[in-house]
Order: sequence, then C-alpha cells, then structure tokens
Amino acid sequence: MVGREQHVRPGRRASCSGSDPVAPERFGWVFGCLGLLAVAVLAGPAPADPVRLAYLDPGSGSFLIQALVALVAGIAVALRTYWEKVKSLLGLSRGAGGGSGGDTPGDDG
Amino acid sequence: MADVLGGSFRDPAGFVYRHAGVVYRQVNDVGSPDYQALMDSGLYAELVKAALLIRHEEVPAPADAAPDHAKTLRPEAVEFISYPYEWCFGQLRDAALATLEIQRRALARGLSLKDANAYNIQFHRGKPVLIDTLSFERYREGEPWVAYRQFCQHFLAPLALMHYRDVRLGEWSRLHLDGIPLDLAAELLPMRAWLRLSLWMNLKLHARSQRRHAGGAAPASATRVSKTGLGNILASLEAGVRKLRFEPGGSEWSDYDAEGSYGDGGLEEKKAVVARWLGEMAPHRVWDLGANTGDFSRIACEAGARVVAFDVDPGAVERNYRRVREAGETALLPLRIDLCNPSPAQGFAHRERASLVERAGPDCVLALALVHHLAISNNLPLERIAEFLALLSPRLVIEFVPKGDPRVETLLATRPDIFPEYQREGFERAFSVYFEIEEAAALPGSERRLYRMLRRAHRA
Repeated sequence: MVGREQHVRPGRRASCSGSDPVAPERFGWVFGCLGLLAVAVLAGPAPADPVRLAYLDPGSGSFLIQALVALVAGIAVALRTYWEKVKSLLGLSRGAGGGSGGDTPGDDG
Repeated sequence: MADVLGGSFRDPAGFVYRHAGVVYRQVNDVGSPDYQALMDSGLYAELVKAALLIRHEEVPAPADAAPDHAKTLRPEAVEFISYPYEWCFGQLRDAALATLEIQRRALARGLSLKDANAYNIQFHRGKPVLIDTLSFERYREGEPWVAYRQFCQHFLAPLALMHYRDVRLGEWSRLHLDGIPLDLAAELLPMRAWLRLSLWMNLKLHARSQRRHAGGAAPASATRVSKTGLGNILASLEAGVRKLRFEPGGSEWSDYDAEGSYGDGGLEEKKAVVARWLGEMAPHRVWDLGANTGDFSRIACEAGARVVAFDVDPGAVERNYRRVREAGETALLPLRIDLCNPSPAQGFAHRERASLVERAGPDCVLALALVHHLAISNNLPLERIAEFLALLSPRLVIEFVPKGDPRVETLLATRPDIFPEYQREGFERAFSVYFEIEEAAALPGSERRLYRMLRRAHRA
C-alpha cells in the first residue's frame, strides 16, 4: 500500500458526503472473509509480553483487531479514492473539495 | 486537600478537586512528562483555538500540596456538567466526532489520547469540548490506540443502537458507565448494520476478537499498527459515526403545538409575563424544566441567563440542540431528563457521577405547562412537586394548568379523577408550604395562570 497516507484525507471527505453510493461499503462481506482469515491467523496462545503500565486496560482483543481494521480501512479508503477518480473522469463527480463538519485542516494555531 | 471530584480518581496522572468553589486540576509527577508534551508540542494551543479542549492556566501550588505534586491547573469553568445519558443523539454524535478530531490532531503532533471517555467531553458554550487536560500521552511508534475499545463502547455502540433500534437506547449509558459492552451491542444490532464495513469491523469483529482473546496478553508483534494505520482506523470510525443519524419525527412533544393550548393572545401574554419577570429577577442561571424545543429557554437567555433546558422527549431535545448548533447559541444547553426519575448519583461509592440535584445551582427554575404532567399523568402530589422544585432553586416561575383545560381533560379522559386537590386553591396551598407567591398573572383565553414564587427562607 504505497502512498496510502495521502489517501486518508480525500477518503475522509468522501465518507462525509452523506449517502454516497461508494462501492467499498458494499464489499463488507468480502472484507469480512478476509478479516476472519486474519483473525484466525492472529489467534492462538500468546506469550506474556511486558506491556507498559497503562491507565486503561485496552484488552488484548481490542489491540489485535486494530491491525486488521487499519489494513481493511486502508484498502477501503484507497478503493474509495480510486472510485472517486473514476467518477470524476467520467464526469459524474458532484464537485470536488467542499469541507465537511467544520474540521478544516488549515486552522492550526 | 479539598474535595477530590468524582470521576477523576482513576487516573494516576492527576486529579480534579474543588477549593473555595473553584475547580482545579493537579498534575502528579507521573503525569508531568505527558502534560509537558501536550503544552510543548503546540497541540494544546491548537486544540484550544479550535474550541476542542478546555483552556486552563497554571497557578501556584497550594500550601498543602502532596509530595508528588507537579503542577496545579485552573481550567476555565464549565457551566454545567452533563452526562452522556442526558444527551440527545446529536450531542453524542458531535462528542464522538470531536473526540476523533482531537485524536487526529494529537497524532499529527506526536501525542495520542489515552482515553476516549464520553464523560471527558462537556458542552461548553454550545460545543463539545474535551475537559480532561491529562487525557494525552506521548505517541509511541507502532502502538495501537489504547482508547480504541473505549471509543467503540462509549460512542459507536450506543449511536449504532440508537440509529438501528431505538433512540431511547441512549439511556442505557446510565446503566453501563464504561460504555455499552460490545458483545451486547453486536447481539442487539440488526443484520443490516453489518452491511456497513465500519460497524461490522469496529463492533462485531471487535466483539468477537475480545471474546477470543479474553484474559490473554497479546504479543507486541501482532498488535503493531503504524501511524498511517491509526489514521485509517480513525477514518473508519468517523465514516461509521457519520452514517448514523436520528431524525426527530412525530414523537410526543417534538411536534407539540403550543399555540393550540392558549386562546387569543394567551401565548403572547405568557411570553411577555415570563420575559418581564425574568428581566426583573435578572437570574444568572436558569433551569427550564419541560422546555420542549426551548422557546422560553431562549427568553431566559435574552434576559442574560445561562440556561439548561430539560425535556423528557429525545426528539424535542434533538430539535432544541439543532437550534443551538444552527444559531451558534452559547448560553443554552438542552438535556434529556425524566423528572420522575432524574439522574442518580452513580459509579464507585456513588461518587463518580453526581445526581441531578447535586449539580443544581440555578437562581431560577421555569416550570411552564409542566405541573399537570407531573401531578396527573404521574400521580405526584402537588406538595411533593413543590418540595422538589424548592430543592432545586430559590426562585420559581410556574404555570398552573387547571382542570377544564383541554390538555388536562385529555389526560383525564381515560382515567377516573382521583385528584380533588388539583385545583387553583389546592395548588396555591401546596406551593405556599415551600414558596411565597410573589405575583400571579392570568393568561387571556384560558384558565391557566402564571406564578412567580420565592422560596421561604427556612426551606433553603
């Protein structure tokens, strides 16, 4: 996933635009199977590891699932970005840009 | 050391206490490096500027400071501390989005939220703001988000349940103070919720992973997540939250037609009288009980008060909150409360979340078109209602809706009238036990009356 980072922002935008008919959400079950596979791979007895003193107990399950969510969400974001590109090439885009939720990245202090 | 406040005694990095009516936050030695990183990274300034984090100033240590004291902070005062189980859907959703935005900005500056506790968000001047300055820790490359589980439990699970099942499930947060258990949410959500990739991964798969790995420590190699990956997780959570919605439809009060209850000029007169009395009393803080979508709350705001507007109906509170956000109002906080069962003191030793009465402090309570619902729909004796209102506030503006009024007739239509005391004289007698009636005004076109009352000194 080279260049995934630069896809995060446009992906966020696309996800904010209400009821967009974006494909990746429809692939839930495909990613699901992939996910199950990954969970199965990650499962199994785990050696104790010195975790640093944490104020919140995140739970092992909540830690392990994050690697998977990060991967699948990354793929979804990338697919969504390419889908937007295809749409804009076909002239189907509903206008580029347009911030959402007032969380513009340019208001740094 | 004075009065350590509930909800702040779990974090070793510091705690909150009240001294002479002012709230302070102590940073302990162990929390000092992370606090310093927050300040030095520029994140504090950025978040305060964006109204996402409460502003504070560092003040000298108190004389009796403990040996592990590092810093004393005095945060800007929050007008009223409210809890997620008192918020409407839109408030919980905005609090969730604010939390994700804070975490996104924190990661960009080399920090990370170490908790994503909904109780750390408060509505300050109309917007959701993080009030826990010690929620940040320095980000360590490769580490997953320690607060991920908490975010899903405190925000994503209740929002999904409210969206897919019933908005009243927001009240469940009162039962589960550390958020809705994910296996419970996963069991209750319908199949169609899993068509959303974000919900399927962050709730259902997450719950399954929790069950599978309960009690076991995870090897660091299997939990490694890059910073880009953390960004993807935040994007996934945000996509999930943004798809969740609640449209207040035809619930009991949200389409309530106030005009219909009054004859010619009655509603205008009611507004004029309330505005005049509030102008004369000039209260700083007003509680509007049974506020509906906040028309009279806003009259109190115009009189210069900061107002908390309570209503039992989630749709009415949602509409009121939308009015606040759309108009950018800063002095009005809508909340959902059932006055027949107001928020209790909760959590460990009943000390973590305060009851409604413990948080009371208004100079004046408005109880307009409310008393008949308490007295007739809920069988509450008038004297008990007066006693409760006297507990809340020294001043009271209350409307009496007598029998014969169409609204009361509706309430009595399907049940025998077991309320002989419920008439004007009985009302005045019951309230006179706790209050002195200063002024009364008849409303034209109906039998309704407004009263302005002052709590009797010995009842304070």
